[in-house]
Amino acid sequence: MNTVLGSLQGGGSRKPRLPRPAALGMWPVLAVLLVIFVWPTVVIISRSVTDPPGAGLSNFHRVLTDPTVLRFGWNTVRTALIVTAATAVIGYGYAYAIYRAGPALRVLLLFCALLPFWTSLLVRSFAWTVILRDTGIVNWLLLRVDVVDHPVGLLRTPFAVTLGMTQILLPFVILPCYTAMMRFDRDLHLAARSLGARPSAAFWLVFFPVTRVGLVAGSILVLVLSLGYYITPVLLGGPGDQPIAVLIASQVTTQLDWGLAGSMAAVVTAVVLALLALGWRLVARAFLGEEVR
Amino acid sequence: MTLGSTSPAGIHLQGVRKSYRGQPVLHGLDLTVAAGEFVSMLGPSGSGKTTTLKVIAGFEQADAGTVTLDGRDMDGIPPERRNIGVVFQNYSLFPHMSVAANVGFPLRMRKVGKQQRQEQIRRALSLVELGGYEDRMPRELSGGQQQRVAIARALVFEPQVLLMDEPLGALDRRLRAVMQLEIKELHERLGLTVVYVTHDQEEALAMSDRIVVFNAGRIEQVGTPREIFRNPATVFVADFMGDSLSLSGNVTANQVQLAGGAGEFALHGMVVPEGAARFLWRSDAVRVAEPAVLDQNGPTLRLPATVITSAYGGDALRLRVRLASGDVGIVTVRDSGQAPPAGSAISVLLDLSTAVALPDGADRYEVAS
Amino acid sequence: MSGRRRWLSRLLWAVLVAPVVVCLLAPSLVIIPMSFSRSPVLSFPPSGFTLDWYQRLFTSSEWIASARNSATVAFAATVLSLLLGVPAGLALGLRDWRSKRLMMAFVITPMVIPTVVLAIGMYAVYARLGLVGMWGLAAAHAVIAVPFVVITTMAAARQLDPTLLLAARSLGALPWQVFLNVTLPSIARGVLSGAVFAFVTSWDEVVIALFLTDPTFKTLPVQMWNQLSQGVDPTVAALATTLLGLTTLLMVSVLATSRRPR
Ligand SMILES: Nc1ncnc2c1ncn2[C@@H]1O[C@H](COP(=O)(O)OP(=O)(O)OP(=O)(O)O)[C@@H](O)[C@H]1O
Ligand SMILES: [Mg+2]
Repeated sequence: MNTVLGSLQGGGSRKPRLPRPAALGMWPVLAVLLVIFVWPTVVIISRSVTDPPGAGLSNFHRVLTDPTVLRFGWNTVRTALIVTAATAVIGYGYAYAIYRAGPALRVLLLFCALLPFWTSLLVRSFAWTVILRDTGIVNWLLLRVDVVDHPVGLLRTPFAVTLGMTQILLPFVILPCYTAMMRFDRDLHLAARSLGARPSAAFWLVFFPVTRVGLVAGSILVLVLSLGYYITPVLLGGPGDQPIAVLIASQVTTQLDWGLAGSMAAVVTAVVLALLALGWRLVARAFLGEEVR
Repeated sequence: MTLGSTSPAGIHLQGVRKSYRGQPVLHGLDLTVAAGEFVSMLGPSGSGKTTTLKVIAGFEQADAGTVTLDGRDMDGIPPERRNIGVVFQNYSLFPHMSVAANVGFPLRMRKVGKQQRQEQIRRALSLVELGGYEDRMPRELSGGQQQRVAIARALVFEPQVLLMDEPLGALDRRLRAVMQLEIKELHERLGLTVVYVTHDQEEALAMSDRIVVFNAGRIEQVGTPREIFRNPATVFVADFMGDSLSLSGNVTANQVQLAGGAGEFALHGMVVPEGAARFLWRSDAVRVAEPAVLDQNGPTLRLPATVITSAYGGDALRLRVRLASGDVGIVTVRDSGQAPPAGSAISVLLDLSTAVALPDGADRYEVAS
Repeated sequence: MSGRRRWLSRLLWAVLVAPVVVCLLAPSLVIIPMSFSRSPVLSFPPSGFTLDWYQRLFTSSEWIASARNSATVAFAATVLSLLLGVPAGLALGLRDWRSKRLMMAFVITPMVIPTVVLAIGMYAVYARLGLVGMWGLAAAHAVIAVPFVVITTMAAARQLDPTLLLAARSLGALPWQVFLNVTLPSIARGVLSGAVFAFVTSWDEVVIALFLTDPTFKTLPVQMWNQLSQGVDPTVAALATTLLGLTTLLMVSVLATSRRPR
């Protein structure tokens, strides 16, 4: 027994191989996912070339040329990029504020960051409609301080969509950034200072590059998630501000055009998977605690 | 321009106090380090060594007292303007920068031109025998190599003072011995002032011009390695510097009564104030013989003792023994192929001329030996 | 840094961070007063005080039925995702094997594929599988919840020292005893938080539910969605406030338990 334990400790961090197929635990989930996740996805994507019969690539041709699809597509990409940029800047700054705060303030700020994470997406989107409507709190305030003399139309605008999605997706950037900052070795900052770096140089040349992992991983996730957003744009946006997800749904429910829906789904899924594959190492490191090997 | 061409600076601390959240950590330190000197700070965990280093480097502001460097008051001067090189225990190499970028960092901060920067990087790396490693990333280096890069980085901008906080703590024993010699050689070659924190007393003894022993935020003793080892000023220092055997007793006139009525002996030429005292021998200064009763034969004291346990240490055997007075200590004997069994009676031979007399209380006094 | 400059930089931070805090909290907080307002159009400031909307919410058979449906679906989805996710999380966290990272990526994908794509795909296929009504929705939700369970279980399992398991074996425990006495207690916290995530995910899910439910079987988010698309209704504010109270309670209790040292 002693030798067994001794040899294990000598092995360092390598995990010992146990008998039995190591991946046995994966089998059930793989089987189930194949049937109820992969199959539906494949079916819907294959509709892009089979509906109507003999469609070939005609549906994809429509995706790339149809003005409606292009308008919805542009809405999606534009909103996703703005939201990603906004969450990146605000999220990193907010995480830094948590990092620098004293213990009591830190708990408070963390709570504020987590509360939306736990609150229903629908509830939050609905709450933004209450805030932004003509009789909402923002317009009430603006009218009270006489900035405007009649309500400003905030709801049903691209601004409302961007604001709502930014707030909803912010925790996805804050949390990995904060985790990366907590892992930051304070001695690196001191080392930089002792080597002649002023506080700002130490921040930009050492702290930021080292903690950037969390920022990049979080931003990739936000970009990916915002490309498929549905609820928030419908509730907060106007008819002209709707994303591709809404178009996909309406093709199925009202137009019964499964071919076009399938090809749009294929494009969005491909983009999402490609982005994720590009950033997989960083995402895995930040969210799954996987070390890059 | 060659590395180490700037003149080293002396460091002077006076009445330095520091508390963390009302908890005093440094209780008014006074310390002078001469220019070009290699001084080790030695002490148990939490005794304030790192804090002292941080105050010198400017990472922490002292609550009271002054720090001068080369005669200049450092109050309010941020770390980046102190020109002090610091080497950290975990190397603290910037993980996103290559070896060359790490070493070049302080030069970049000083706006040294690219050409000259490369030349200085090359020279600093060859100084620590890492020429050719410029493009490696820190994680691609072994612990010893990382430590050398950290040293090169701390030296490349020719600081007047080098502070090292347990720089070898993360290395294995053999590599540590090699690096100790390398650091000492660097110090001799460059002649800069080094303040070196360690809690390995052998390391401190091997490397330093002088040793500062810390205890709970105070300086217990300052002296050369030989003084600290052979003439510890307090029981704390004596214990901290290695194995020893000590007797507690009471001094009256020229006689010493051992504790617990275990016997008495005459002081031979030692001048010790009256009252409670401890007489201490380093373990290697004690000889062991066949059992006998208390017997003072000239300056040599012969005391009966019982072996509690023994530990094999290669060329020597460490015996933990209990004396008739109840004092427990450690003696070292040459290994003769067989360890005395636990409980066996032996006698220890103590030469009064090699004894260190220490106050048994908190005070300290110099001993004429 | 001088005291004055430190003070200034603090002020600057406060000025930058305060609006973010407001934006993070505002949507959650603003509906609370609205749910007590007499005004039927949700206008600010709230006028008067009434509990009518709550009364309407808690006496409406439609709302109550949909809440019950949601709870059933979420519970079933949680159990399913635990059954599938815990073994997978253990396999991923405890051992090293070939193509492990690929498998991990695969199990995570349901989380990032746009839900609309999943929704229409499942809409097209599930009827053929006989997965309709409650079970279809529970299965669909289990798919998007399973990544959470896998991630949290895997993280907990990684903390587990594999030599501990061997030590238990060497001390005479049989494999199933090791699992019950060592493995399970060590990962319990991770599994529990995965279960909470799974439940919340299903409870909150709208898009797939819109496609897989019918007028006879509606979940709470679907009912809410329908209500919202018909027009303003303060009953939704009352519901939102109730849900907010529940999640805050949940969050505080989770935070409180995770603070305890292991
Ligand atoms: N930032 C801090 N906040 C609060 N207390 C601190 C801080 N830094 C150090 N201390 C306390 O100050 C005391 C001295 O710490 P210091 O790091 O100087 O010890 P040290 O002698 O370097 O110990 P070690 O050998 O373990 O490195 C310790 O009791 C420690 O807990
Ligand atoms: Mg220290």
